[in-house]
Amino acid sequence: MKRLTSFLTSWEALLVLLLLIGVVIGAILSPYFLSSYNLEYALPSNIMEIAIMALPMTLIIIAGEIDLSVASVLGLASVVLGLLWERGFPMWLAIGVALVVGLVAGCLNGLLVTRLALPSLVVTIGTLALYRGLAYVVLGDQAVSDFPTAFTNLGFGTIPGTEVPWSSLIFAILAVIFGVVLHFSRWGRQIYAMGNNKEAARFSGINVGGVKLMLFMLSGVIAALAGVIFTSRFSSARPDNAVGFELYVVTVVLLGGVNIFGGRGSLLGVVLAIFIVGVLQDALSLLNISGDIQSLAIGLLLILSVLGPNIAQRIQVVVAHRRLAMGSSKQV
Amino acid sequence: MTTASQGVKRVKQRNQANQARLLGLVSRVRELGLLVVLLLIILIVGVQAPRFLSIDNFEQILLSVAILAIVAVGETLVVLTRNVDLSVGSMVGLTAFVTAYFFKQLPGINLLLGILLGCALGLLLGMINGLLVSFGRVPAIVATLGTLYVYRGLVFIFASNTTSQINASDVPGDYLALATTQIFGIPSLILIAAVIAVIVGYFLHASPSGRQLYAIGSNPDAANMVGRALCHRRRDQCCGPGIAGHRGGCSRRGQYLRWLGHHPGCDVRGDCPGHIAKRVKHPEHFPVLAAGALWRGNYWGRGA
Amino acid sequence: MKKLFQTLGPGFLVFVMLLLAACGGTTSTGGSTPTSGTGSSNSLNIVFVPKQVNNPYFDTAASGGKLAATALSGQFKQVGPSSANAAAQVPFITSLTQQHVGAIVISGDDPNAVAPSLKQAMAQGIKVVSYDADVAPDARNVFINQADSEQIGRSEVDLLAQQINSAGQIAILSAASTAANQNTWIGFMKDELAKKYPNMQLVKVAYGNDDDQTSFNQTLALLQQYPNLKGIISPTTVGIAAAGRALESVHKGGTVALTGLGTPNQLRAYVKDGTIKGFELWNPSDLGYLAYYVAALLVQGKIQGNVGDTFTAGKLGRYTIGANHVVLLGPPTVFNSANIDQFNF
Repeated sequence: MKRLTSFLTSWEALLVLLLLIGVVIGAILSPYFLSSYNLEYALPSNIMEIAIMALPMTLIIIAGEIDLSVASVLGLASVVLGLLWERGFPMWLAIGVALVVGLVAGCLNGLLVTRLALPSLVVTIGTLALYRGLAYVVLGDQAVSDFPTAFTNLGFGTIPGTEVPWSSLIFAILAVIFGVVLHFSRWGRQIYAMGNNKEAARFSGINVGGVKLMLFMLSGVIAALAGVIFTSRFSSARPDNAVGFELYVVTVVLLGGVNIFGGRGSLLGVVLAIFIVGVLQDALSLLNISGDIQSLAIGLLLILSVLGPNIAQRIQVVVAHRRLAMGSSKQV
Repeated sequence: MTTASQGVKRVKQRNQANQARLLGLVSRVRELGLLVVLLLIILIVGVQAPRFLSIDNFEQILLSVAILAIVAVGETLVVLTRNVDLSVGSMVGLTAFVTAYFFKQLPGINLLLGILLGCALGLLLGMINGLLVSFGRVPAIVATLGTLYVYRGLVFIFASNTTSQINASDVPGDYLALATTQIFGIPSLILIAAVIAVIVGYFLHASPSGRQLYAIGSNPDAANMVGRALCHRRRDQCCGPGIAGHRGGCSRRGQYLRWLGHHPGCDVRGDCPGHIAKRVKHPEHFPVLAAGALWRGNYWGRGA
Repeated sequence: MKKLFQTLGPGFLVFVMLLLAACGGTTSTGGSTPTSGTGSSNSLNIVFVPKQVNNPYFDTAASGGKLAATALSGQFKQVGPSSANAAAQVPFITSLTQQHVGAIVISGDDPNAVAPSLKQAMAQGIKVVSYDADVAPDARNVFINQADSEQIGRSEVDLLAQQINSAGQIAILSAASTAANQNTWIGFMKDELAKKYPNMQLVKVAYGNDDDQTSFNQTLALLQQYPNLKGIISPTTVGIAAAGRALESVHKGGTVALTGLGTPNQLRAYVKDGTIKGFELWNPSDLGYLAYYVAALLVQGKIQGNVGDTFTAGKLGRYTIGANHVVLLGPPTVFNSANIDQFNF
């Protein structure tokens, strides 16, 4: 019973509730919401790149850092892929090189943060601009857009026999892997420890620098993977792909209950938050509401989700104080 | 040991000490490092493309960063206290559009009143951020991330529901002139930016409240214990970027219209300030953040 | 228990969503089963997807579309991204596909990037008409071309050549590097230069992405990089307006010739003060009108979109679908100080 109540009052429970509310409202507002096409295909495919990037971002934020360069790495990987394809290299090679580019980019981030002890916020703001600029250098004003159908099916097509896009499958697999790592493995415990108290973790023998470097490299590779999926979904490799996505990724992770200062949060929360944002965006698109207003709704949701509990807590404290005061005044 | 060799040794030591002091100075004073990098870049580019070194070009550069500078000054106030404000870009856009809209709707309005109105809006937007952070105990990065989206959406709603075109001829000439006049040959925008920077810089260094910001950033708990009304402080200087954001907004609009200033017939799509918002909100807030962090050096509040 | 839930939760959730979707397929099946004709009623539900919204050129086209909608008692709506980006157009197309609209009328930011989603729409029975900027030919039923591409390209160069005595360095300020219409015109411009104007050199093609600030900056960069630049062609309404502003900001209006495609309202002042001596355009309102009409006729089944089909498009008269399923609106108009006051768009 205790476990049940503690679960029910947890952040995850709130998110499940929000998700259900979102689905219900979506179903009421638009007759097209509950179609299998929408739920299986349209909703997931729009949010998949952000979802995939949110997985390593969760780990990084729990560890007490942040990586704002993910969208730029996505763009860079995308243009590298496009450039190599245009020059005639085989697709598997192009994809491989793009992933390596992501790895290197993440490595650079990690080295700057761990070896030079620079704040990750500052470093990744810098590399955000750096990698985006590199993307422009690589491809200039051009864009590559004629990709083979086999490739575009990766992002745009569905698993044969169902309507689930391939990217959903990739996300599901990655989510399970990350979930196991974060909640069940030694590394997961180490990440939580680092986020809570970096110095104490170091003194306990955890290789803080090494783990963080790995996390940043992981983030880079995953961002590059997201870039491959993005490129295939839109059949377009441009330097300005996914501009602004990093904020969405951070929003989703924060909405998922991960503490921005590190040390707390769960992957389940983030997955729920991904679906909430996906449902919100999808429902609003079906009503032909523009993207800017969708962002407004998401921003509002983010603020209220943190503000709400804080205000509720404060009211609780005030009420408890009042009760105490009244109680003591009665004891005359 | 002879006096001669002792003398030589002493000179060497003195030289070494001087060198060490200089290096120490450069490595400690962050601004010096930035200056060195700046000079290096100018040198390298200037050698490759001599046109880079022309006065015209520098004026163009200064103009294009004038607005960024104003907003960065405000952002610095926030970063000093160990917070961030990601929403400055959206605030600039929103205040720019609303100000222009008021000038269009009330043609006879006093120029100063219009500007003050805009500043008041900036103050309000910043205050919302500040209240969320101090009273609502929402971490600054979360709050301002949210308000970034909210303000951006507000501009969009406002722009698409009111007017689709704000011409340069719809706003009073004085407003446009704000950006086009030159004082002693220097464009007024640059002067405004410089004045704001100087005033705020002086405030930070010389006044008690300015030093308090450093204190809050260095060690919030200690500052709290010393009895500052932390809430009050944080809220106040979250307004700072709001006002700066508005000034940035005014000036951005002004610059936009500056080029149109000669020709009132030209159109600025009403969405253009909205477009300003959309464009400014994303790419701009990161340079502002970077500028703020770079200028005031250490992210965690310890300034020189 | 909690840990187990936390780990299995994500996968479980995905499974639940799929289950929900599979059972909850109340309305249309969508997906691979093609539905014949229009899924919804016979009412003309036609939606325009321009390159970007809040763009005066496309807004004018939309007003033409609205006129046609009124004439045909149909519905009109316009949705699109705020920045001219193909990747941003795709979610709108997907959303409209789900809503089973009658027809999508689109101006593509990139002909290939939007093709997969458009093909999916067509597979569901939605008619696709492209206007202004074409998409991949197999991803649309008909393309409404505003004017003969060759004619636009060549006449732009001729216009500029007149203004600079057929000699000197020139540059082109285009929109998005992937826009099909831009690239076709630029191709013809280069051909015209090679054939008729040996003394004019095209030094650069810059891209402003139909973004005012970018176009402005690109123009300034061009002027800096090529101090001897004699003329600029900007075949995009956003680009030419920004270029005019940029020229005036450095007091080069009149020294560096500027021409291109623009709307009279935006460029009236520049024409009056001599920065722009002449430019061309067609009537975007007519373009929108024709596009809506063709889409409506397709939806109603009155034409099939085959080459050789003829039809009457309301007030615009008779048209024939030409090769490659293209319908031509008409010849472009040249605007200069003599006639610019006659137009209001």
